[in-house]
Amino acid sequence: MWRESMQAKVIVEICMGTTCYVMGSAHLAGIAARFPEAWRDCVTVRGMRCSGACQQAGQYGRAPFVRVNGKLLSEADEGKVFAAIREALNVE
Amino acid sequence: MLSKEGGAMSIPMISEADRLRREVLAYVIQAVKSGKYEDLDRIPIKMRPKGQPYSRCCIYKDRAALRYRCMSALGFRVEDETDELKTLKSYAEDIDTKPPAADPFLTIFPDACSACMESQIMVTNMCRGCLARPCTNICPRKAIQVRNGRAQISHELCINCGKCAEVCRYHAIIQVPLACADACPVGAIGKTPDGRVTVDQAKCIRCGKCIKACPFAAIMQSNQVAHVVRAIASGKKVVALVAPAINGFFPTEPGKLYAALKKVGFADVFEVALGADDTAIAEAAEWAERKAEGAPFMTTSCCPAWIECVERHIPELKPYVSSTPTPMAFTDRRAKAAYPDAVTVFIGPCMAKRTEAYKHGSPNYVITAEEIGAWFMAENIQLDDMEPVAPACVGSQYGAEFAISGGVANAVAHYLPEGTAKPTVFKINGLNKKNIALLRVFAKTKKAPAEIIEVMVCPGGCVAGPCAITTPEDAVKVIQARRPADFKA
Repeated sequence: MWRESMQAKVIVEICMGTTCYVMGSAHLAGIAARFPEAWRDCVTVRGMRCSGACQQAGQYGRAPFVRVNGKLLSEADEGKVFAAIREALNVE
Repeated sequence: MLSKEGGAMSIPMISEADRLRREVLAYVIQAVKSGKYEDLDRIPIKMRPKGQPYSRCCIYKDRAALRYRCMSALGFRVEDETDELKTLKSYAEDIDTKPPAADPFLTIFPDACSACMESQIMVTNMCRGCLARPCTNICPRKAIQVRNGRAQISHELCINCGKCAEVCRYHAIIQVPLACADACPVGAIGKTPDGRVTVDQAKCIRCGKCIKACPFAAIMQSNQVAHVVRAIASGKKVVALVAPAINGFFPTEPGKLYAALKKVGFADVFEVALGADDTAIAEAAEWAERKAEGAPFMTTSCCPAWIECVERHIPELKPYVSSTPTPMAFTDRRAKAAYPDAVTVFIGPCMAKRTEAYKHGSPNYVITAEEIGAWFMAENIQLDDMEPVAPACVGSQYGAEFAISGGVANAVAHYLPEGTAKPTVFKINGLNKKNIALLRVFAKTKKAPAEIIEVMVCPGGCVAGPCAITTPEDAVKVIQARRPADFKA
């Protein structure tokens, strides 16, 4: 399910806390399998423990949360995660 | 044929409708558990605050729809509403004196229904009226003619086979689906004169496919979780019967899940996988006996939507259906023997189990993976932080794999009495209109392609149930990863 890349330029952390999991991260966990081949060696995908963002009364938005190179995405879906990775790859 | 199932869904996705339903459940559980019933009437406003985006025509319709979602989450059917001004608070107050809504557990909020058009084949303006005209050649009913440079379909003749759409080189012909009716395997879905959805309860087999399919979430289920929360809060001994599929949905070892269940207030936990072993042992013995008496075949009995299908649509098949009780029934017996005064709660991925429990009067409540997931959300329980606990009883891997298509037949074969030949197996992996017709032929001809017919209404098995919270593929991986070395598949 997860993928560790040797020369990771982008680190994707998918929250596996209960709220995120039930609200959609269960369906994002296998996202690495749907990456383009070019991302194989530069994008790492791993799970993360509950960051507590879901308990802050909407301050950070709604679950599920995903971090891409430290930047927190709320209401994360496949499209948002792909866009954030693309942005991170261009910038760095 | 155009693919109606799968196809576009090969990317695992959670829909906004699923997310909305789970969020409503979590807020409702939070309010009921804390006893702050006045919070309930604020849920629609909290979820659709002023000035924020909305999804229907206006924020007020969104809020009205959310109010009915809260009502069904509290255990009451929209159809049973007698006073539109009755507050959610007062519905919550009813929980202690009124049982949850009875079968059917489907409930419809007609104003949420978009009155989609009937499923039909349509020619779009991409049609170029080409010379080749494969659409007119392939049509088995001569329903297509080209007039004024454009293919036209006569809807009186068209049988919606979709062949024309398949052969058109411009993708100019499309099959416009009617999501709810296309998902229903038994034709139970109809329309009111103004085009809104109705369900013929006499035909409905309670499978819940329409709930999943409707993009407007107009078809809902009446839940039972609020009653369970109240039963625990009022000091009753409440025990959880955990279906094998549930152990595939949470990415954690089963002991941590059971610890979480105890933390929210369940007195004990029984694995339904052990009841599944009971079912497999009894069904294996039943087959040995039936075979000795010359029975040509036998179908499994554990899928409650299948049982409803036999009763409502293929009664001639009844003599061939195993009479062995289901894993839920066996586990409930074990739980009631251990705790005679307990309230028993089945936790599974299935809607039809609610109907099964209602018909048999036991277990007391049925809640779904979605309801338990929302409950953990409401109490902010992190499964990873739990200290694993042992359940009251543990099933075998054969019992655990009842949740996966093929698993029931495999378990029955494993538990055959000594000297009985291994039966041949035919799997119905997902019930649809086509294989219902096939099953009818088995009954009529008293002949089937194999001795054991394993029927699972959901394609993939219970792991693909309408109230599942992960993809069936992931759940299968999690369950099968627990196979011991000597397991025989």
